Amino acid sequence: MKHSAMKVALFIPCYVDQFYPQVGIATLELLEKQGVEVHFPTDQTCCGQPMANSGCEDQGQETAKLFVENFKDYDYIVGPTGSCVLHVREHFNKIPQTEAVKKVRAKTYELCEFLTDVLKVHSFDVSFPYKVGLHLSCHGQRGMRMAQSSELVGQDFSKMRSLLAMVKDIQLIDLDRKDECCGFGGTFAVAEEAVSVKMGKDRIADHKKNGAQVLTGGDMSCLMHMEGIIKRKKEDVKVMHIAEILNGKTV
Amino acid sequence: MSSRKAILKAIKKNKPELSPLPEMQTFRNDTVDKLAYLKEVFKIIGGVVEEITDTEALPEAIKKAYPDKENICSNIPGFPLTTVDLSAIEDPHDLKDVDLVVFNGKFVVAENGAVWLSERELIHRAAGFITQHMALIVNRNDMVWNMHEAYQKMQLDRPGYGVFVSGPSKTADIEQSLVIGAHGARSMTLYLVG
Amino acid sequence: MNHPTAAAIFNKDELRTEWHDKALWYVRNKRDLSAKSVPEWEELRNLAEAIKANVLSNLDNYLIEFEENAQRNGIKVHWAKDAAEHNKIVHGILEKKSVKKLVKSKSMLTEECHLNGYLEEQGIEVVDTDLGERIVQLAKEPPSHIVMPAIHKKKEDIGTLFHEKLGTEQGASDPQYLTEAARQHLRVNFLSADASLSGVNFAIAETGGIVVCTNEGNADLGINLAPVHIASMGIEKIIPKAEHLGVFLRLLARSATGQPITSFSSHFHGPKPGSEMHIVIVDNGRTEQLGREDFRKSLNCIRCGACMNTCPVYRRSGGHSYGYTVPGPIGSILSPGKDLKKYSTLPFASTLCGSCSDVCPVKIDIHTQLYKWRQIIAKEHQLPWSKRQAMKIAGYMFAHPKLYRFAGKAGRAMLRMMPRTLVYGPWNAWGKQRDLPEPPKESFRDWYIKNRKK
Repeated sequence: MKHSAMKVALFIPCYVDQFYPQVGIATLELLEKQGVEVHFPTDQTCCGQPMANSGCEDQGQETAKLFVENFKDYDYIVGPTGSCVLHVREHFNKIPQTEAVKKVRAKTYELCEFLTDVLKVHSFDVSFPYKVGLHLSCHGQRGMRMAQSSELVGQDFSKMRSLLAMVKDIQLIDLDRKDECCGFGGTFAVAEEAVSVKMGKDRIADHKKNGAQVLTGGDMSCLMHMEGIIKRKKEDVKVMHIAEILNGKTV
Repeated sequence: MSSRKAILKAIKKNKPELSPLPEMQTFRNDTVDKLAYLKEVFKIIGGVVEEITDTEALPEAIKKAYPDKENICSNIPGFPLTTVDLSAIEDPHDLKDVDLVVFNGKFVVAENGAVWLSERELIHRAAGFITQHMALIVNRNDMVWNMHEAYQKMQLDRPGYGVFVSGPSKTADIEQSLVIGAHGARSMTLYLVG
Repeated sequence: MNHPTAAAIFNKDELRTEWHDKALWYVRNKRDLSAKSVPEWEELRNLAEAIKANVLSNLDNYLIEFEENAQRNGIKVHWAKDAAEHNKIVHGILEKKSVKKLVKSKSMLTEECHLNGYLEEQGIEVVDTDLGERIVQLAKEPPSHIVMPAIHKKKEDIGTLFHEKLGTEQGASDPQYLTEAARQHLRVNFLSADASLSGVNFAIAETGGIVVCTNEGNADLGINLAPVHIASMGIEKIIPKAEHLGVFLRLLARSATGQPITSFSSHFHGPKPGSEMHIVIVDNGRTEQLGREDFRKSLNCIRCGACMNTCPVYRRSGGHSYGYTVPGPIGSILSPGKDLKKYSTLPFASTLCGSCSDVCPVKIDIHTQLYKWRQIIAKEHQLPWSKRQAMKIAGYMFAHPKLYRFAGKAGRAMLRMMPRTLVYGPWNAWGKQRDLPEPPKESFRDWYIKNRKK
């Protein structure tokens, strides 16, 4: 399908809608630059993951049905999040599997995955002259296999890293632990506050130790958690969503 | 109902539909330099490999590597360094002062340095563990690449005991610090002969 | 104590938490190097998974085959439906032989059955002979890890403990020195024990024998000296054929510690001349787990401990915070089946990062099972009331777009207006050590309607 012929729906996770509109804007503009016609169904809310990961899958069923209703008429559904997209794909299995549900589950993509696998982007006409540390969020990483996970034996790859490498003047740093979890984990962040924060601190320390000026990633939830710690500790690291960098925002 | 019956009944009730056994593979590797690999592995497992082409030179080499050892056992008939006759011992507790055992092993596995010793080689099952040091002798042709080949090579249930020995006894139970010589042999040397 | 509370206490000493994390990450790293030295690693995992699936689907027949062959090998086979029966059987064997002292090598099953305490009450001295096990036994603690039982202890702690219990020099903490002291102390016990007990890593149906893997050689030293050997095994330890050992022995040690194989992999197919060998086959909840379709795969576990070493939560909360014999991710999917209420926080002691499932040599879908236990815990009303209510409200709100938008707008406005002290009160667990994001005036939707919807 030609890019211009695609009918793409923008899926903006609830907390991004409420707290990080600039990430939504960057995602929208980035897709538009690729010549894609993007729509934002304005009655969208959430994917239902917060309830499901807390054990209350049932409480998320109506939310899931609403999601399908909002997005069923598009060729692709694209969101700047691995976590919520994985939830749609994997855990929309408890509502009746209508054609619409099946289609939505199959056609929902994480932004970087969509840029890589569907749009097959080869370059970005933007510059980002900073040392950047990439945080691989677990759901995109191990859930959706957007990069080779460090536990498995096989060919190394990373869709996000490859996209970032197309940005001019960027310096991607290597981490001591390239895909360790940041400790966000949804309600885990408050239910297991002590461990959650320690995990976040340790990730930030790894980025700092290896010289990151900017910490980026594909899931604003993980970044929100780490940014919260960075702000509290007044650390000298800037946090940005990968869509912002790819869309040409500067620090 | 006996517990045996109850357990088997519960399994029968709860087990899933029969899932077939997979076809086994041996992952042969005809290009690898087994000897070179084995030598590298020995560095990891804390053992020593010595190559001896002339079997006659073996006692001398072992004597040099293990000087001043008094109580030495071996499964090699007429081995000149032997001071304790294993087959004359009835109670394995009497092996408590053994300093060194010199055993012919059946074969060695290159990928992990494991030497197979069955009860036939050990004579007493405890001999390989109670000793302070261990010297194993394997013909260089008796080397397989991996564990799949190893298990094809042997009969497991006769005699009643056999062990893969890969290096000396060791532990890292205190702060992950590797210490050689936990309860069993403090050193292990593999002599590849032939 | 629930997991979050115990974990918070553990985290109070941040430097020690970091030390614990690094010690285990070091092992995880060694495991990675070791796994990556085997090009067919993923194929081995697939084979192991398939063999285990076959075992579970034919377990009753394999157990019968195993028993028959073991008996032919001169081994006495016993069956125990639960921990109490297992302990009774073991005691019965020991009593018959007037055993005063039992040396034990590592067996998580006997930990699960609380055998040591039971035997000690009957007047039998039990000496754990694995160094780590001996350390925690002397410290009167349970193991905090299934492969490295004393990983939570610093060498100085062990030095003090050995000074008290074994008379080592005060202040001495060199691992080499302490290990030597334990060697001397345990030799005496090996030589004076009347019986030995071991766990079972693998039981081979086809040949009627068992395999026990150790690095220290403690299992063999105990078993091959004492006149009685008892081996305790869970029903799931069965493998069909000897050739399958090739797969499992290649995976086990590499996953556990990064070694290509343990120092000793011992195959017992009968008692040594003039002695007795017993095998106790134990259920203790395993057949029930076999009946749970979503969770039966947890019985694949070969107790390598890799999921503990890789788990970012385990590394930063310690094995004792789980309060179950098997800690870490695998313990968190095994324990709810034993007591849903008691262990209801364990499936939540995870970010669902999935590292456990990827590291698992037998491909247990651990993080998926954690997710599924969460659903059951919520259904069985084992979630805190406040959390249940919050999820109910959230579920309703997210199903009603107008309400969601109203709540979002009001919430952001409130956050902007409220003084910091009010936002960051003790009720705000998020804000204890983290700032909340700046609430913007406009949501993305507001912006979109203004800028794109003409």
